[in-house]
Amino acid sequence: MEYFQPEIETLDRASLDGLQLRKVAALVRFAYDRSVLYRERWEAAGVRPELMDSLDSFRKHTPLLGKKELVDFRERRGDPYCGLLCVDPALVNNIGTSSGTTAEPMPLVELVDGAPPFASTVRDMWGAGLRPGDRVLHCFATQRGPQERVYHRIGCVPMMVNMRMGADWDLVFRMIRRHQPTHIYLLGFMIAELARLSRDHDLKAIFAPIKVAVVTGEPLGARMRARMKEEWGLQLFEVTGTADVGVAWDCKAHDGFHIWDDYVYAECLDPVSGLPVPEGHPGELVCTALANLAWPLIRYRSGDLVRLTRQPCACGRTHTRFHLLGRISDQLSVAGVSLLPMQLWQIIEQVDQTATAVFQIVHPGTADVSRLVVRIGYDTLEGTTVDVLRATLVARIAAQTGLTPTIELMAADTLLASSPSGIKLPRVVKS
Amino acid sequence: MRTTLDPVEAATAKIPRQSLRCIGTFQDLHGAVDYPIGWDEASRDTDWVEGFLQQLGIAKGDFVSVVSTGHEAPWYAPVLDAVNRLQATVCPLEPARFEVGRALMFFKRFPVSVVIGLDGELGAALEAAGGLGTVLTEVRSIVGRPDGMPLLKDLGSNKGLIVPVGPALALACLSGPCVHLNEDEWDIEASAGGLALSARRSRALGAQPIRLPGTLRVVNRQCTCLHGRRSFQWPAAQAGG
Repeated sequence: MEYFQPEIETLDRASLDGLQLRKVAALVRFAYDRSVLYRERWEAAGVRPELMDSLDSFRKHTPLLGKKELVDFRERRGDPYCGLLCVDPALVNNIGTSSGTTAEPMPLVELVDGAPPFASTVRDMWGAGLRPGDRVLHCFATQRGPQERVYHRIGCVPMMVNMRMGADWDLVFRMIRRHQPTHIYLLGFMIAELARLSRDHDLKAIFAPIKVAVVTGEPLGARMRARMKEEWGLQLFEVTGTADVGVAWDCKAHDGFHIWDDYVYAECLDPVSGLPVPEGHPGELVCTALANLAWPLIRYRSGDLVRLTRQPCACGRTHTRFHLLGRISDQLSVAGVSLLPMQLWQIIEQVDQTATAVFQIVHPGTADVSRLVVRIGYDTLEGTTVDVLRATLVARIAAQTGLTPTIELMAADTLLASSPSGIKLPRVVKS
Repeated sequence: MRTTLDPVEAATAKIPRQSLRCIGTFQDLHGAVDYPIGWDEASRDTDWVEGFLQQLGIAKGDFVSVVSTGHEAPWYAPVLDAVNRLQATVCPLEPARFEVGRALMFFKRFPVSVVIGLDGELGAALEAAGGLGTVLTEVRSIVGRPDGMPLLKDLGSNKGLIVPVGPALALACLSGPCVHLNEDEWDIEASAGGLALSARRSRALGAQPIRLPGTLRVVNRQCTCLHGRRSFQWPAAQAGG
């Protein structure tokens, strides 16, 4: 394993704790003096910066923050920055946003002083094998600012080629042959498209120069992961978000997503009580952004259900890791059975015609749902019919969940096109 | 005052920059062509765009919505960089229907005064969501793409056009119904069946002539805006009149 900053990436736990405490204490002081929202909330809760003499004190005294509190402040005070902005607005040079998959997008203030968003991913890229001079194929979205700047910092040359829905993949493949990129960045719907293209193209030969393939936007099912590794020859890494404060990659050990503790202070809490859960137990990921003083998110609730550990990784890094279980808001109770979309994912991807797992649970909007309704996109009807496919899916889901679903079948393209963000498909939607 | 505490900044600063900023593609008469862009020409492109944006009145503290997507960086990265050079704030959007929610948030919550790159798809989605005239009521200037221009014709804002011409960028002229290319950077002539474009200065793309579809009419007269020795007329039918 090669590290980009070995002295930081393998720092011992006690030193990391000390580093985080210093950063947290400085951050709280900074935000207390400058953020209208924090001053208001913390004074009401009796929080003062001088109380932050340990990470325990920080956790004990500092109230959690969620989207609801930001939205409430924005509506009440008419402040588009939700009371978090700690700098002169003229210093802000880019306003990214959350994806807006389920609600009005939230502004995310970044790039102040020219630091690109996701700066810490340089360490992940280096660990995965990217090096200066490498060419990288990345269908950059601009929602969080110009992400290609991160690749510039590591000395890579981005190839700006359209890989969105409806893209010219013959052109993409020609560009790969000509420029031999070593890195490709894939979103879920691109994988669905590649799965279709694999019928007529030798993806293993096309992807031969690729040494780092990143999948993001949504989790990757076990079957598709195996297919991409074995049939397409890709070394896969997954990337996910950390409560809108940044992103986390997995590493070559593939044992959870790495959070960089000098960028983010992460906690895992019971989503109802807000109390810490024992290490390794499921809980909500709560993050404090330690590197962005312009618009600091402090003890910000991610809405993600995770298992978190501070044990060193097999890759040798010592920073916090987590395994993603799903969105808390996607957790359903159907006829008394608790269900997460990931459970259906693993069943649906086992059926050949729906191997890309393009699906949505259709929710009536009530707390307890009596009937499971699933909208599923098929990649192909080769070797089957709609009725036979539906019966197969009903039988498999019933056998493994105990719930007999109603299934709405449609072409995967049609379902993907309904994505409100263009990046990921909401896995639970209102009927 | 430092407002980011970036722990990798010092380490990345030691990595030498590559000669290329990025590799894109553009379409010539025969299909897709590779488009390598070096840092020097990217900086010159930004200089040129910055002059246009100053004429639009963009200044420190303004909010500017730039509608572009990653693979359009050969044309839009200079726009984004120029907006930042002028110390204005970018509210980035993608040219797609699914961006309507983010766009409505920006236009409702922030005093966006200029929109650059508005396309037909996002424009139509905004029209359906509340009417462009209502949504963009505070916007003083809109520089639209050709497919977005028909939607803008009844708006009171200043209007102009942004359009790639092969590897080059053509931008609105504020003095009349034309666009300009950076003539320090590009030579362009009408030729049989289209246009012939070539780089006047050293660019990673090389200096070989590029044959392009003839969607731009060259007008050989000095424009009053003084941005170019010549101006270029975008066909009215495509630009929405």
